[in-house]
Amino acid sequence: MNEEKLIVALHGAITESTENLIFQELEEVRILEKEEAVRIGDYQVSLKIKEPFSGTLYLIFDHTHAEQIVTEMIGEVIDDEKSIIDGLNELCNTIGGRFLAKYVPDESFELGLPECGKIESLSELPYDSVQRFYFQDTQLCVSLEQE
Amino acid sequence: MARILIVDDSATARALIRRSLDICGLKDVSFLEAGNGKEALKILKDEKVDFVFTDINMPEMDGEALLKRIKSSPKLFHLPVVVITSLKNSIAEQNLIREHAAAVLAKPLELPEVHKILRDSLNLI
Repeated sequence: MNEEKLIVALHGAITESTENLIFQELEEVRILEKEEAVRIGDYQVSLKIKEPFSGTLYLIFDHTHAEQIVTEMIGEVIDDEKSIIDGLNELCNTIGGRFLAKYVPDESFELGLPECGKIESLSELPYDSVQRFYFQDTQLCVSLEQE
Repeated sequence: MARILIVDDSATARALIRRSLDICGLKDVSFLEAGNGKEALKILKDEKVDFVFTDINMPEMDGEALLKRIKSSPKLFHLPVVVITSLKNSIAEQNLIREHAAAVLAKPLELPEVHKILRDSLNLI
């Protein structure tokens, strides 16, 4: 597994997807411990990667940024839970697909379906740290766990 | 008036596709929507549809299975199917074109690419 290639592909996918879907440019990325970056009640979307390797991509959003991101995507105010979850799933699906298309442009790859829930316990999270992506007016956290 | 069936399990994605087609200048069209391949086949059985825009990664019946069902049906074979997917790379595109997809677009949609497909492949604008 080429770690550098993975990171470049993931950052490229996030940058392109957010520019296109929520019209925001990436300003900074920081690596943070989960205790610092994630709170109980945050939305977490998990997306299984089946090929070319086994793993899971996690995207984490607090409520304010989740609402803001989905509102930007749709172009109208979105504040109901069902629509927020649907929008976050779609964003994660888009980033995940774009990520693997960049990582293996000439090989087949396969993703599961995105699943969104709320974080109930920090100790049960399958990662210790996350990358927090800061955009002009919003932010999201990402973790890629390989099995 | 052309009737376009949009197939995606995400309501957000369906809204994004409608908005992109609208921005690209698509006039005189009406939209039908389905959440997966099975729902799409039911609509195709009951309604007149001129074009299908479908996602790939969906529950129940995915977009590739839907494409195969459409292209193996003597009644529906003529129907242009545009695949809109986050799972697009060169291999996926080749496979879908081999399965007779009219075009394959990557998510997130890029408007110049959508415009080109609507104009050159579908003659819709």
